[in-house]
Amino acid sequence: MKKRILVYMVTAFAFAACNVAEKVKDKYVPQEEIRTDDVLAEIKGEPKKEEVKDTNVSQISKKELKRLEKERIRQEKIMAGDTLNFFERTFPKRIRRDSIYPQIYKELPRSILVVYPWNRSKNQYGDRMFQTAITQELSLKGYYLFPVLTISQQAKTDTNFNSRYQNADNVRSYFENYGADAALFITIYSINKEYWSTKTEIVADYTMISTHSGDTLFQRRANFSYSSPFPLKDKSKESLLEDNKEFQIYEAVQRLQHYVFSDFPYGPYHKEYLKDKKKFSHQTEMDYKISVIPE
Amino acid sequence: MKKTILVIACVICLSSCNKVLYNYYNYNELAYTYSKGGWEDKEMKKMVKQYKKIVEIPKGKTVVPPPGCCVDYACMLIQQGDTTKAKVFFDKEILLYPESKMYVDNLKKEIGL
Repeated sequence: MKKRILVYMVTAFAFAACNVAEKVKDKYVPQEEIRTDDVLAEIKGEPKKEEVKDTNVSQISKKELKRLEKERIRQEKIMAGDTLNFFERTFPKRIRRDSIYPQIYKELPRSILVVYPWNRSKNQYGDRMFQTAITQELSLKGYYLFPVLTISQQAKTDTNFNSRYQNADNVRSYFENYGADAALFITIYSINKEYWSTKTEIVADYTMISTHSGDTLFQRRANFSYSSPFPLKDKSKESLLEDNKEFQIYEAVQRLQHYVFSDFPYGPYHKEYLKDKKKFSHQTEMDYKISVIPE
Repeated sequence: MKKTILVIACVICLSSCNKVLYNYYNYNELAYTYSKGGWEDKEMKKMVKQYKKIVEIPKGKTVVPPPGCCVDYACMLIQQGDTTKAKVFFDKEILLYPESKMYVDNLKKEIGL
């Protein structure tokens, strides 16, 4: 017991001694002194320099200071190319459908032929996914869509029946052979889905051309990034698709079609036909970034 | 008071029921699988059975089969040798969607119906 108390006391003294030693050291070690120029001149015996007094002293209030700060930030934003103010950014200017798609409201197409997509991606079934998914999207908008399966069978036998080999000059033939009012060409640039990630990235281009006038009715390039919920939704037992990856890509393709044609004018079979001219519309080129993962 | 709340709730419920034009069932998957090809007779029969539901039990606002589906179904029937029934569905497509007349007539000629 005594020994323990002794140990405690020795330790306490040691700590206290360290602190005392430090204080003694600080006291006797010569300290650096900061001398101003005028003191140095006095020591050297040089004449004193004349003090220059700033007579233009102005006091700025806090309110004024805030205003100047705001102005500086605004100038910086303008320099960076951001010219929209808070109101313009929060409430973007409404784009009307009749200003984006004037040709559609002028020509009023009733039937659309989806030309077999040009698949430039590495996904071998990308073209089929796009062609089958688009039919439902457009027909629910009220248009007549030509039978997909029969058209795709035809594409197998006639390799020229592909968006790659078509151009605006020969779209007239679609009216003569099929009776279609418009032809939709799709080019798929990429479909990326890594096995470790929930994100699917798709880049595709859509162009709809009138078979009567040859004018472009609709054009959109979509850069689509879709993050699916985690854990990933697996295909159901009744699903006809082969594997989960294929199911997830197909789901992303369907979502892409839905977003791309979300502002497309309604067709003759829809009750909103010609009543949607004043409704909202997107820009021609859009980045669609949809994330369903809560941040 | 209770009555008013009940009426408002009913109105909200009814207004939120937004029926689509056509009911496609699992059309997208079906069409995609069919377009890939390479199916056996058993799978083909299963697909035709599912497709039949889209054409013969139409739902949605219009209560008619979606555009193009009758033609696709008719082509499936032709593959199975049922040309008389196929002809009925070709005619049904023209009746429901007059825009398809030119295409269906050309297709019928091609097939020899």
